[in-house]
Amino acid sequence: MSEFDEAAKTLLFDAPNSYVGRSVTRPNARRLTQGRGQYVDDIVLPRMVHVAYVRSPHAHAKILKIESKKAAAMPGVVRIVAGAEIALVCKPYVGVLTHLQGMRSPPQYPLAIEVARWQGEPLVAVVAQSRAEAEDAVDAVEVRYEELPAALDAERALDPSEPKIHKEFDSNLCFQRTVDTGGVDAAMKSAHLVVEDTIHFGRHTGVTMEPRAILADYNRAEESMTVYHCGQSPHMMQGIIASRLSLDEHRVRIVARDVGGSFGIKIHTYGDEIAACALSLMLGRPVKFAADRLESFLSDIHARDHRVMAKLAVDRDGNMLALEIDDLTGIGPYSMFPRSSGVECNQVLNLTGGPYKHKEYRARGTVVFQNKNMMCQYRAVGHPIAVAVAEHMVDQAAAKLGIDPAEMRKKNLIADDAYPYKSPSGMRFEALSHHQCIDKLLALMKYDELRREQSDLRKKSVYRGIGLSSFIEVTNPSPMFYGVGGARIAAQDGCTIKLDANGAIVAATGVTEQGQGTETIMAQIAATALGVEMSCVKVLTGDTDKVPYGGGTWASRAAGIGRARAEGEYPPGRRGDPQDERLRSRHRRRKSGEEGHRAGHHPRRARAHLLLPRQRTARGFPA
Amino acid sequence: MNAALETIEISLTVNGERVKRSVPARLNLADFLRIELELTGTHVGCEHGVCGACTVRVDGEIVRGCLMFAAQADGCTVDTIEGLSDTREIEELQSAFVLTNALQCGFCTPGVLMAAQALLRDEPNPSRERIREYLSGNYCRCTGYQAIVDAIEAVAKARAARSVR
Repeated sequence: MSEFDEAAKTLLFDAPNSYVGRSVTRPNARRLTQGRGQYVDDIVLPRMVHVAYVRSPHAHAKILKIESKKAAAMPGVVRIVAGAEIALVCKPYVGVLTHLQGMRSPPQYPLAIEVARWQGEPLVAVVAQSRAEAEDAVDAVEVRYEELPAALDAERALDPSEPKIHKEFDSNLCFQRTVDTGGVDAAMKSAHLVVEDTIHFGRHTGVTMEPRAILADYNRAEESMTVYHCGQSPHMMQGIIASRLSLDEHRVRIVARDVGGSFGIKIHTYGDEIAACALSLMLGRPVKFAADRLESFLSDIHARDHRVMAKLAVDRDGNMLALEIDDLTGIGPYSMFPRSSGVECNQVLNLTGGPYKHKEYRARGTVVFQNKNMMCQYRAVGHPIAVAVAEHMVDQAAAKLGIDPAEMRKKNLIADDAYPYKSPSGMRFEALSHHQCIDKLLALMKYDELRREQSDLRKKSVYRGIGLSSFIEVTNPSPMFYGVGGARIAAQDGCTIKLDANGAIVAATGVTEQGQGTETIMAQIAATALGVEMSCVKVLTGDTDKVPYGGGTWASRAAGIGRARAEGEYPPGRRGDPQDERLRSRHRRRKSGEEGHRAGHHPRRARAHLLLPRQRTARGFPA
Repeated sequence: MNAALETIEISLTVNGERVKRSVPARLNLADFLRIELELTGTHVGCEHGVCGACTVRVDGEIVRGCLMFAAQADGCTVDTIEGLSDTREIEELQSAFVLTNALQCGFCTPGVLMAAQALLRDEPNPSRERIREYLSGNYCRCTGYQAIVDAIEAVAKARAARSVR
């Protein structure tokens, strides 16, 4: 469906019966306000047992002995399993991507074997009738450790005197990449001014209101595994669980119903979750793992542990000539599977200084292992680092030259007519409008007025700050990101639109809902595309048995990627089926007013008028 | 035997229904409601009284379900999000939340609604600052709170307008 109607010379959104571009309430919100959501920990299955984990209290330690006899005899305990036993049914995984050349990370197992490499790494699984009983028994498992020196500081990780975390590697280096346009040194030398600084960023994490949770149900009779998972990418998880546990992929079903916040932390492979699946396979019964808040703090991925040294060269007038950055990031002892822990650094290299038109750029990214909780991609991967660094340097240069920060940006932003544009880091940009944007923003905020007020107040010792920041957000970037480097992330999301016998539309989509409103957006799009009331569209998400293959929801992709599918775009050269075409032609006729559809008249109000014909269409009567 | 594992007989009224159970002494009220009574609208977010997702009403006052033992609720009247929904006591608030999109993932929402109802009952016309202060014990990680405050304020104003008439 094209957004532009050639015949009517209008945008689709202008159509009187468009739900797109209109504010609607979310049909699934009512359920959630009544406490009728279904989050993983709300699900109870027959014969279900619970798992809790013994986690390493040390950053780096040899596991000498695990004594679990006493714990095994405690009330409710079903089974106690250590890492080596899990490894008998679960293949290890390696979190590297082939497009990040030279990246390395050793095989990782769900539970640590022989050596624990971060405080909080799970070592022993205790399965019991209730979570409380499992936790009691966890306390009774005795583990003897030999503490090892830990490599904690990323800045020292590559020092030969630092402890090496993996014996198979010669150093704690995971990945290194350099971008160089070649003329940075010359530009720095001839520049009027070079500003320089080092910026440290502390670790962040997502802190979802609902802690991570998984309920795995292996059925021995069917050799099938159903996994209720609070995650963001069900099909990716299906592939991971099937391949790690040597199951047929089509016999693994992932169900992600309501998810209590994700923010990027629920898209990775966590050992405690994979171990719960392995335990279900071993026990032949449902096993639930629901992290408590303390476990979340210890084990949810962190992000943004970066130290960036930056240098910016400018001429006398403030024109940016060259930017150089050196980004060092510590990611914990492994690169996360399957998306790797190198992408954040990679994005910092790709994006720093992105909106500006300097020609020379050199960036070095170094990703190192350390004995801390693992880092990986989380909300707006790399962007905050890239933006903070570039904007800080631009402000430094502006201050030194006595140029107003807004003027400095206008001087250096890529011209609005320069597109398509290739940034010095190799990113291709299309049709951006930074100048239009900053002009509008300065007018909206009454920038000059605010500056005057700021300087007047300063005379009275009142200090107010005005901050400006420009950035380019990478979003919906297509197969350039989806699935690149070997991660099983679909670049071919689908939406199946079904017309049922009563004329209702069932839209099953590969993108998922974690509170973003995905289901509502898909209903808006499908209803608009098919010309039906939104109330008769039912949207299915998050169940690999019911929805087409897709990548799920992360990096702002749900509306953009799911959109084209829900609109019912056909692959080139393929026509829609006749029934669908009949619906569309009705929609077109209604748009052109042939069926008495009055402009500004919402289809919801025209229900009685429309419903009957739609039912007739569904049952095969001529439209 | 460990005292925490001793079981205690309790009888209480939950959402208007009389309930009798034998519970471990250490079982908290939120887990009791979720596990024993399958009232899963009460959510457990932090288990140490910080996030407010487990907020329920005991004898008319809102409490943290994770900071109270089930045994302490013996003889009490407990109301949860399911009860307040079924009696339609908070229908107006729920509608306002839907209308202003005052929720995203919805995990914190039942607790927020329990708190909002308690506020409007005691203080029918709170300022936005007062609403924010009252909800300071209910975390929401998705919305940024603005729409939540909008929704509660809208209900307060609508009720005030009705009472004037």
